[in-house]
Amino acid sequence: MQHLFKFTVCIFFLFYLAGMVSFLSAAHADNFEMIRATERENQANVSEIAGTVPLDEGEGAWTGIDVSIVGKYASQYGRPPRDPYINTDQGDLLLFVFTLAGVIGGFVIGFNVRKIFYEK
Amino acid sequence: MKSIKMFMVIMAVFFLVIIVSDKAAYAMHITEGILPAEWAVTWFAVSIPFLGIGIYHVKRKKREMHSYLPLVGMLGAAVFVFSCFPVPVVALNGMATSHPCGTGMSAILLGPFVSVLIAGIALLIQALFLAHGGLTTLGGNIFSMGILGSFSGFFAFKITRRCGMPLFWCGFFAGVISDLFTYLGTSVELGLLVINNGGSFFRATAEIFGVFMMTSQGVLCIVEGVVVGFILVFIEKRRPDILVQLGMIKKNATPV
Repeated sequence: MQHLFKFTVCIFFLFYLAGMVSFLSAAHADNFEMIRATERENQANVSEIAGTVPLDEGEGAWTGIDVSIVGKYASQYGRPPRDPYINTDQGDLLLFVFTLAGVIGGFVIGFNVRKIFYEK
Repeated sequence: MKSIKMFMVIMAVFFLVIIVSDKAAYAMHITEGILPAEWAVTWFAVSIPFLGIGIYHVKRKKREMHSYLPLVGMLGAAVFVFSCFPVPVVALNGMATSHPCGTGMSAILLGPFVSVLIAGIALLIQALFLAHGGLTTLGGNIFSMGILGSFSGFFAFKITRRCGMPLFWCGFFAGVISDLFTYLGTSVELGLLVINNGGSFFRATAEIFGVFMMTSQGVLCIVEGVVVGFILVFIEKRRPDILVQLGMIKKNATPV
């Protein structure tokens, strides 16, 4: 069992390190400059997302990573995101639906937590 | 009564944070229009059997366990809230927001198939009303967050439990692994897009996953692990019989 535990921990750290190494290899690859130049043209600069330039430059701080990573890579690969079919991202409408979702979600969680953990 | 009041206060603060955080609630979800038709159909085809088995498991288990449906309701709402809850992270390359997934926690408590089902429902509601994710990318998002997140978290929990680790650490590893696998799944789905352009799938996947790790998930997966660990410890202290009924701990297990 001890060996299994050590094995699990090793796998976890290898997995964790793989992410770090893949980033470093991407950032320091020989053709990094070429990648940057290409992506500047596409306005999807890898270095911006990958760490050489802070995320908040041109993006605004606290940008969601689906914009700064998913959206940029998808655009780079020729599949830019499009507006949702039901677009609630208009003015304060999104604020309203998020608030509503938070209230309903909170009620459901609270109701069931009380039912499961506190009612006799 | 005092604990209920305390609980209500915590919930109020929790959802105030959600309200204040406004519309920056985006992260791993693949946005509408990103996946081409062939991949969108493929991911739907992969996900549908898991959803069907999940429905079957809910129907079966609700007859076996009295508090199973409230547990499904609670965890379903928790997965929904977690997966659109933007957590600000200051990581190695700046400030970003990302969200935990919650599927590791739901997979431990409900089983991986039911966890896929509730993740699917949460993602559908987000795609319909919150402009978060997308209808054409729903299959892909269910695959990464639902299937990969649930099964990886479930097996991580089982393995660590067999190693005799304390419940907190079992939950911790399940939360961390499920979060990482979710983002790995997203990276794979995005990496597959380069095949049409003649690029290297492995390079693209590694690059995107590396950027996820450095931007937010390297930190956030640890946070998710801690949250899952504490939730399991809370349940064990408050209602250990639930964990016994779910087969997670033995009847005379030593306390954490």
